Amino acid sequence: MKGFQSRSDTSGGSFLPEEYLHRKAEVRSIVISFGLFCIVITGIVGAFFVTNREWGTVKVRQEQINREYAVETAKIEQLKALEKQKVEMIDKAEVTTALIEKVPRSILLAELINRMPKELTLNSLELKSTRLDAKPVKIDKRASATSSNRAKASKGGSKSKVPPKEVELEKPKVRPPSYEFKLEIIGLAATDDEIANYQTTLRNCPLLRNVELVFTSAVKVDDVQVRKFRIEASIRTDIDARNIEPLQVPRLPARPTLANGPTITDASEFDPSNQDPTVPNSPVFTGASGRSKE
Amino acid sequence: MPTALRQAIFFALLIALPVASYFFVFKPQNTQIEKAKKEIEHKQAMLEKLKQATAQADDLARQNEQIGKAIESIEARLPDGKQMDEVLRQVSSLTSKSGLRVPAFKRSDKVLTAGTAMEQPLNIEITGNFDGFYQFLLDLEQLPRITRIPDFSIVRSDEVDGEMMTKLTLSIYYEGSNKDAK
Repeated sequence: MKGFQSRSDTSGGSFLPEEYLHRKAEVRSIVISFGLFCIVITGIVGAFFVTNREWGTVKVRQEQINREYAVETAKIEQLKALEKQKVEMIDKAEVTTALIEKVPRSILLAELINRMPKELTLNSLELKSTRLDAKPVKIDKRASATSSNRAKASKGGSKSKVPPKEVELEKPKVRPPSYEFKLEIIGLAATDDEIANYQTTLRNCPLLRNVELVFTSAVKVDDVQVRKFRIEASIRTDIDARNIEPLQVPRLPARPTLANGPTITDASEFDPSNQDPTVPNSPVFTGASGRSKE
Repeated sequence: MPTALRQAIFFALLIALPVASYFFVFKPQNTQIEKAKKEIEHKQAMLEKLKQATAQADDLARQNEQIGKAIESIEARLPDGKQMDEVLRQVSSLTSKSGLRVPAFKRSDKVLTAGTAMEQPLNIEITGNFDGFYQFLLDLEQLPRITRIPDFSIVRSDEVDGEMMTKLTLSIYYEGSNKDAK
């Protein structure tokens, strides 16, 4: 600070008047001070402009994001409506598709017959269904009634024109019909091994569950000792067998809706001695002693 | 006022000016900017999620359309009424084609509701061989109208070799009102 006021004595003497030197030093200090002031002010103003510009950019971006957010929020509403529609349509589809038989009886029969061992015949085959309809659900709307409804009702008082039943109960939801199927197979076999084999192959059948052998007993048919048996099973309701290829059926042409797999159409191609479960075997509902109709 | 003091005050003011502007102008503004930036960042993250979610809207609309068409195709297979004459004609045609005989064809008195449709069970007795019955089932499943066989009983005939007697319940479905149900 001293440097602004006077020159150093060590720099040598001066013939200029002291007052002049003093004023000169003052002017210099004023100029320097003004310069510093200008630098500081410029710095502050510059920083202000930079910050302000950044704020402006951020504000613009914020507005843009807000606009996009509003647009997407509107889309979310649309999405929610679509999801609600989908749930309704799936419910309706469930009710409608429940009418279609998931296990066509032709496929079921093909599976039962073509899994039979060689020396086994069926005497009777019974399929019984039990309908398992759930009771329609009645929703108590009183609990979910809005406050405005309550307010309206209270304003109306005893003169309210809304019938109480309409307020209380919603239209019951339509439920798809559901069934439980039980299968009972009674037949004759040469040995218990054949019966056990048949039960094993039935257990492997994807259409059946709970395959149980109820009894086997010795009976005489045409003076021949054979084993009579009874097998019970349930049909699975959780599978769709419409598009599966049943085990080959030799005596009839392929199902028109199914894939064109190799099918034996000529009876001469049929080899009854072949015991591979994927290959057809003896016909069903023939005599116990092996009296084939073919 | 001595020059030294004046200059000291000036320098103090010179320093106070940026300090004051920092505390009174820049700091609040920077705080505001930081806050806005954080909000932008948060909303951007949300926006990404929203965009991902809303991208499914087209797929969802397409799925709904497909489900709708599937429902329509099934409903198209439901006639307006029972059309018993048509069912009898079809069953008779299919059985004769398969070499079967129909000793009994009886309409059940019990009409049931089946979802949005009505179900009319028919009790049918069929005699013939297994091949014919199997062919009958194959043809029945190809009928345009929706049918089901909830119950059947196949028993080997003791009288004729290779013959069997089948009692089955054939359920036919149609569009009707609940008034039909008993």
